[in-house]
Amino acid sequence: MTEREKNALAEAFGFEEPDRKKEFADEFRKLDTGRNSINIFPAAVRFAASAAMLAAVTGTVLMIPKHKHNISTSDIPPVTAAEAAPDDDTAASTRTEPASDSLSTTAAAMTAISTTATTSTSTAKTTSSAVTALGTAKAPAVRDSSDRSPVTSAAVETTVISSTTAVTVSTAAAPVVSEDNDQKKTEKSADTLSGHDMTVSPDNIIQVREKVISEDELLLSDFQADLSPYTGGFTVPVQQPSSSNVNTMLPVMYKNSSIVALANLDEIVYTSIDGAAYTAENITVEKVLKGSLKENDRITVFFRGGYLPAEEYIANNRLRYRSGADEYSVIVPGECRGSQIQGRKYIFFLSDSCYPLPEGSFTATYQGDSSVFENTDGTYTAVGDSNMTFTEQQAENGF
Amino acid sequence: MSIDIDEQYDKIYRYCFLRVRHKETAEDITQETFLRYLEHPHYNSVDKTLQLLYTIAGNLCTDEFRRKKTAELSAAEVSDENVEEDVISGYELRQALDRLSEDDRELILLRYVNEVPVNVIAKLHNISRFALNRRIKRILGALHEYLGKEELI
Repeated sequence: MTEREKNALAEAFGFEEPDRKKEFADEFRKLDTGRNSINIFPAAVRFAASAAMLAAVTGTVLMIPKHKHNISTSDIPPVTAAEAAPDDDTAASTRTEPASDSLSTTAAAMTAISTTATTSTSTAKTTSSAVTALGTAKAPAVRDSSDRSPVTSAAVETTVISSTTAVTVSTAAAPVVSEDNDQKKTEKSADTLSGHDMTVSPDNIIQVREKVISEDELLLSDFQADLSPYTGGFTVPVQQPSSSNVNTMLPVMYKNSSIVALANLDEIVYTSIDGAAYTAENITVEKVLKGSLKENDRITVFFRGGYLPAEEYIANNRLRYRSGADEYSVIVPGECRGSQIQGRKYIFFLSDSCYPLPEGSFTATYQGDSSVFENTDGTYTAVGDSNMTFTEQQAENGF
Repeated sequence: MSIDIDEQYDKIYRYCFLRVRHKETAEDITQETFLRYLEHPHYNSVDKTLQLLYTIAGNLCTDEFRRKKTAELSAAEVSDENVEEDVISGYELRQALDRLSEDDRELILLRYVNEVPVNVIAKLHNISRFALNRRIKRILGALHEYLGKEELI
């Protein structure tokens, strides 16, 4: 459209000329002068808001944990021979690998007085296995280390055990371990740790004292007599099923168990929960017969019974305090009769634990040791009841 | 953003006059528009000055229309007739514009008399620029048809 046409349009609209334009324009200019500068406040606010948002996002990103523990343990640093062997004298014991076939621990081990060390020759690679007695200072140390830092548990466990091997380490029977063997052991160690660590830590760990006394002896004695060290273990009899019931007991136990597995008994510690004595066993699953566990998973099994400090036992049972009680530990009967030996393999019939036991732990399905079976010449016999047996074939077939 | 008050005053006045058809009222609304513009939060917005001015003016015109309708003032209609009678030149074009709708007349005013950019008019009427161009083209075609010739003059 041409300018001429536009002017014609403006005229055709018939607009009258405004009368007050000049006065208002002057007034408007005065008002507009003070506002003519560009207000930078909105821009500053936008800039500040952007910077704050960027800082918030950056802070949030930085606060996110960079690395969470991968329970698949794919990133476990390999355990080297140097880490495992503190010095030349213990070079042969590069890895504390419980050898079930050669370990021998007697009931006296339960008294936590003596320490036994034997030499393992069951494999081509001779390895000295150090078994430290239960209830010594070593047990809680290993327990704490393995629980709190499962990623490095291999290194910690080996180191701790090596450092506490105040036991006889036989190097005479141990040939020189080649680097190849060390490497294989390291790989095996990593394989062993490939399972999930589902162990739980007891709130308190009871150290077993050198002087041990039974409940009956405690009630009868006044601690003035020179008591000989107690070596009887958990001798309180448990009601045994009749032989006729044994055959039917196993299928029922299998049915009532959430976990049935062949596992290695790694560690035994004693604890008390609400004044009651408990024995906690950390086991490593080697073969699963029933349940959702997988090979190399580590769990904790609680058994009723164990050790209590004598003064704690007296207080819990409202007995009259006797001088010298703090030198004794009292064996409290329960389901665990002290027949299980650390480092050996057993078939466990387990159920999920309930209050007051820690969540995530397990307990025996039937009368403690009666749910734990040890292989003797192809036949599994209950640790707590020799009448209860089954064969490997039965286990494979699901009883 | 500072505006050319001499130029925009006339354009806003025309816009208001087209809507209210009363000289004094249109001038009052025009001045009120600029005063409100100064107080508006988007006063410093570079790209919204024209849109803001026409929006304020349009709202004020609407308010005035409602007020007049309520008061049932007939004097304004008499005034409209007087305005029409005062126009001598471009009589045919004036008749052709009168045959257009109010909205079409407003679009022609904004686009060719006040020379408001297409994008601003499109935003004022809440339509796309392409739709606005098609509509203006149709209005011009209608004017040409009323006038019976290709040119408006």
